[in-house]
Amino acid sequence: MYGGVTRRDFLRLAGGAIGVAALAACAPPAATSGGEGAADTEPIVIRYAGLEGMGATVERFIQPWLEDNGYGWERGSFGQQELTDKIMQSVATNTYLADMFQFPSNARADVIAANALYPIPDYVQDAVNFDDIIPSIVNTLSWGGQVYSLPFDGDVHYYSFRKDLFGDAAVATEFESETGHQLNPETGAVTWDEWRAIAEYFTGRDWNGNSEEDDYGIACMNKRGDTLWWGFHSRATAYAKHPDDPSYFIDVDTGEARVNNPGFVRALTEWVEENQNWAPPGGTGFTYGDSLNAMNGGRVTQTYNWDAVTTAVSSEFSVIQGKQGYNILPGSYEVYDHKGGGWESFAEPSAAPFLAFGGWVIAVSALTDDSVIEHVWDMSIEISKPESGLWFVTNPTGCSPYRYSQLEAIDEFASGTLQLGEEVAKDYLDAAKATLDHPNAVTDQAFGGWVQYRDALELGVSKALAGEAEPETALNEVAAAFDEISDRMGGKERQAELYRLTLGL
Amino acid sequence: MNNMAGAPYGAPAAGESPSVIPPMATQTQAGNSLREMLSFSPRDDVWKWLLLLPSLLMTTVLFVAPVVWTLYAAFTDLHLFRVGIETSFVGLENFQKLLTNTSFWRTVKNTVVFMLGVVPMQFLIGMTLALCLDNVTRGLKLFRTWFLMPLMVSPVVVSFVVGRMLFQEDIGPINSLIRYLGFEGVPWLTDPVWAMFTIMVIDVWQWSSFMILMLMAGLQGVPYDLREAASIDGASFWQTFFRITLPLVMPIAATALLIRIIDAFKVVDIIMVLTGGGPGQATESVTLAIYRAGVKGGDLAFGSSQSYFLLLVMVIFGGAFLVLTRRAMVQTDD
Repeated sequence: MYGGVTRRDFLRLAGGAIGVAALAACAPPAATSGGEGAADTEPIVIRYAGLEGMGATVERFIQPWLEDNGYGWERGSFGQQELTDKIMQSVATNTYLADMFQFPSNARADVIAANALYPIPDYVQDAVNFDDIIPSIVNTLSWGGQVYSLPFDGDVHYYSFRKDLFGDAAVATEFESETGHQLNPETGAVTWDEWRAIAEYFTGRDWNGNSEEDDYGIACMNKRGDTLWWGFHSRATAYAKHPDDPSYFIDVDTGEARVNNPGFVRALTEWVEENQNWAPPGGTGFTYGDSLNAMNGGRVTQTYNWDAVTTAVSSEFSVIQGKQGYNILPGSYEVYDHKGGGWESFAEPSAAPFLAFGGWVIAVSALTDDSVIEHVWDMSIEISKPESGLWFVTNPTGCSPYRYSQLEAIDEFASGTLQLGEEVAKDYLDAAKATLDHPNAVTDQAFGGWVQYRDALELGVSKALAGEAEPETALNEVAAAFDEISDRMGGKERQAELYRLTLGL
Repeated sequence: MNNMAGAPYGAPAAGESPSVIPPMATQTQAGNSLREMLSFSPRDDVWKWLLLLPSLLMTTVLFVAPVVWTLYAAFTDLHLFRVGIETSFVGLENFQKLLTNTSFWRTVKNTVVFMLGVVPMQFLIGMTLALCLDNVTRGLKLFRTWFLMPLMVSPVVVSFVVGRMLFQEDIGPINSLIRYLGFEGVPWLTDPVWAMFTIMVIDVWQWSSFMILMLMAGLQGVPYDLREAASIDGASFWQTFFRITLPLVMPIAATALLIRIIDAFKVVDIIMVLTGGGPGQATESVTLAIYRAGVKGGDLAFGSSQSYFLLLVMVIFGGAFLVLTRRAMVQTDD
């Protein structure tokens, strides 16, 4: 450096150079040689956002079609809760996330009310044969009579049990003499009382043959911030959902919270006792995965889950292939009648299967560019048409049946990639049909602000599970929180109106 | 260039031939013309501001604007997911709700308990190991790298591997060992007290390294002859430590403690992975509650008021800590 330039001069020059560079960087790109010709060769890019695992499956499935049609593809991958957060934030701030995205159907009020989605055109509905889709699933795709999304996954909770143990004559005899109940290997527990008796009986025994009396009766998803919401409601609906009353979470007329009525209190009281006494250590803080691992690893005899079927056969850690049975969630001889203010007895068990969140759906963003939209609709047809849907539900993708035609496809489930075997496949599809078509099935909470309601309930139930609060006290807190959330979301009447819409009333 | 003391910059040094140096007048003229081009005194300020502008813009966009916007949000009923209803000014309503909300106070208590549990323990472990390593002469670099490693691992990974796998209650290796020894397994993550303890253990494991490194750096600044003189005068180890080493390390120790106190108040990652704030609300921190209300729940107004409350608590704790530390240092100097 020559002597005339000081450090200050150098800084000035550097500053000037950085400024010029910054301006150059901000300048619009120069036209490439060939101009139009170059633009013509650019492929149309379709952008998709979804779960990491399911998104990768969609990508694998759709890749040949994209290549045949010359489309480009970009995929955003997110974790389960992260995806919902991303979608909700993009909706709330009117920011483009992707042309097509996968979202949980119980966020439909928040997403659709914000005009974030294109309605599904009639020709797309015809192309994917909407008449074949089970009505309870159609309800999760629609809002105010208009269809806004396409089916992808008919997620509901199934009851899962160890058919091999329940069919053991010696076990059945001893069980009956000890509990007064009968073990039925075809149905498993048909009431929650039977579920409890089975849970207690099988706890502390060595039925898995490892020479240690350390086996247990149940494993439930109950970790706060994970899937506790679904774990608890699947346990509570049979007591708290009366067949003659459409209300469950809140009153469909007044919007008042119902989650602290005696039906819910009984469910929570029993659930706390079961998880504390008849689940493996740590069983009051199990994630969805923990509960599956306990079942597939042969540690417990009963659970309920979305993916118990596919993971039991496809997981390399599973020791229960061919030993499992499936059914609709257990019911109850007694149901709390909120309007009448008392318990009502039934001659047959009253079931109220929980359509636990109703499944992932795919939708097209209202911010999709006009130049791409036709191609995006083409892709949505390719993903949702019946042949594609059958591929998704009969492969280890995490997707569950949602069409009548899929419920009839026993061979594809029994002998296809999943290799369920005919007996398991039949049990599974019967359970799916009984759940999805049940007249007293409980639609998941889908009115506005569901994330807040979920957090409030998970906090209260988690307190009861940890012994920090009595079940009734905990649920009173939850009910107060529900009412407060309803007020903040625009008032109880407005929430009641949205609830009626989610139920199709 | 080796410039001679006293010689003007650019002038030939003694012993150098003027012929190999450009004529002084020419060089000075070149320098002057460049300087004139760049240095008008009225423009000095312009240049300064131009150079500062990127930093100012960044600070305004990334710090001042969010802080002001958050303050505004705390006085409204702003909600991300409430469609079709106007946002309105609600005065102190959010803060009133905050102060009467027992769940929120539980998170404040959890956060303070966590901070008081982990920071002193990290300081004790850090100081002990730093003192031990201060006497190590061989392999010091290896130890430094070794202790740096926990800091390099993501807290999420630590929580999952150390927390959810090692402390798994049914088949985790720690409980298996405890049962093998004939004791009952410990409910590491499902008992309110044990869950907080487990989270603290993981945080202490990860962040004690930070204390070790900071305190080792501080100890290197303590003159060895001072400690040697004290030893010759008959001072015990503890006398030397409390009268010489600790006071001299105190400025760095105070900085390290303050950083850890602030970090501990903001803890969220470990808790989210390990317990989700449970069992019940036993491990929910204020930051996790803010995340749940504001980011997940869309209640930006309530989340903002919680954020400001946390900021206030941190300022009070941090300020009190600095005042007490300064007093302690002044007393030591006296």
